[in-house]
Amino acid sequence: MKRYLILEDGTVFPGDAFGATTNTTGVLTIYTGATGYQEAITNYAFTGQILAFAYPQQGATGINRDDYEAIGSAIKAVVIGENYDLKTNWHAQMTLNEFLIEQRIPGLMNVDTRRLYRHIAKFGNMKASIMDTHDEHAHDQIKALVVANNQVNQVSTKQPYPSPNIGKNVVVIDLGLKNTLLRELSKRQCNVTVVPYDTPSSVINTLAPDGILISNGPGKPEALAKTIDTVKAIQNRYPIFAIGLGFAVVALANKVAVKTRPFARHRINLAVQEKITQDTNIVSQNSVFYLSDEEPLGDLLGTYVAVNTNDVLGFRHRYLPIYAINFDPEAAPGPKDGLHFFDDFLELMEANIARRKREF
Amino acid sequence: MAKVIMDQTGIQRALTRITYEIIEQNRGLTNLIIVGIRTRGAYLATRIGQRIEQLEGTKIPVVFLDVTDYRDDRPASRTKTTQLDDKINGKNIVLVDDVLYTGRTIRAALDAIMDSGRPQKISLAVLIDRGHRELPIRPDFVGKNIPTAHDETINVQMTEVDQVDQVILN
Repeated sequence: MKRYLILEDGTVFPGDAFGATTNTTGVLTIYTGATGYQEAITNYAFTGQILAFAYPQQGATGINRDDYEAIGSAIKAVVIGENYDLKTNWHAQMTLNEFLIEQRIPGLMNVDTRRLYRHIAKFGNMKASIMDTHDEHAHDQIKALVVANNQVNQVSTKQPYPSPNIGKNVVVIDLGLKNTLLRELSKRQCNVTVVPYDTPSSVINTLAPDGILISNGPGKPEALAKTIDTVKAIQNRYPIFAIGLGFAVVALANKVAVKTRPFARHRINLAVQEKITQDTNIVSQNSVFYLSDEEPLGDLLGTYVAVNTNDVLGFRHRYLPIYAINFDPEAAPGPKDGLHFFDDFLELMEANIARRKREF
Repeated sequence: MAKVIMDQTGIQRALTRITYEIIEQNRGLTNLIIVGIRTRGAYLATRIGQRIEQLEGTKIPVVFLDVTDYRDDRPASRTKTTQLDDKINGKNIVLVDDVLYTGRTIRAALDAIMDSGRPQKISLAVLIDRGHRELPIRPDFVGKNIPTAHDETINVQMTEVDQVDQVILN
């Protein structure tokens, strides 16, 4: 069945339906990785977005039980080029098409996704819809769409829950976390409590953690006033490691302006340079925020810069044990150059514990 | 039996973390002087100085100290030469050494510094703390704590003199 991807500016991309056959609207996001569609589709950082894969073939390895980054998926639609729709891979449970039908997510295949990529790269992020027809009514509908800014509220956990182990006590503030984040903490034996995004500082003080991790997530940081207030109240007391949306929240809590790239490209091949050693890491990135290297950073100290754009994508607090990065250290999907950030987090907590013991 | 307990990446990351902690604990770097104890401590001090420069774009003075004349296991007849001038007066000194063991080297370094002037504050950064202190001295910044037995030795190797970056436990 022919269906259409309609962009806000009136451009229409025809394609063939797969997955669920409902109509849908959302913000279009481009994902450029050749691999990792299951992780991307189940990543809550894409909540409420129409996810378009620039790489022209997808679906070759099906959907398996090991690569889920969340129990469900919160995206609005999947747009791909050629769909292999196989489940011959050794650990595949179902095909991409079967998964999308089960999750009630519409898909559009045989779309010229390279042209789509170039179009978005040129004209910036825009709203889009997937419809059966592309008449005037459909165009009006997409123009009238107001994008909600409560995405974090949709995907953050409603109740705190433990992910027990025998090591350091860590509180994870869930803005839409990926399961691999908890896997990496578990590998390092952290005794984790995951709390909702709007948890007040008093609750965190009751838990008295050794450190706090603020996860990545969807939407804009300005919408997270409660999280920002919590960070302001606790940042003097605990070591903090923040990722993605958490990076933006910590920057705002320290009164540093956060900028957003006009072209939201999510990828697994971002080159970042660690300023202090001049080492380059290749990492995956699922968020669009950055700090400008031309503006004063206040109490923050830029630690990582994007090699291609000079955006400040990592910082530490000058006087407090806080660091933040605006890319995914846990990979999944992507290269594993960034895994050392979790070891850094453990060392940050250990150094803080040792320092507290010495001070009297 | 020799065992590598820290490789090149481990040393790099430990120095990076120590650098961040030094910045964190010394509000503003205007008053900072890094003093490296020869031989390996001097190279570590140089590397920490380079890291601060990469990060902040400002050069922090790095000076070296030879504590041989001040050691308590050498004949006391040798003349003690002051190596640092009075520019250390009122400064925050970060003393850098490779291995912290009995604390006697650090005691000698403190004497050498005090003979040259009166710093505002002295803190201590070491790559390895192996325990067994014989003096009331403790580090402020530690790369790695390695619990050891008395009969073991820790050998820090650095590319500047040993062609390789690693720490070996014998």
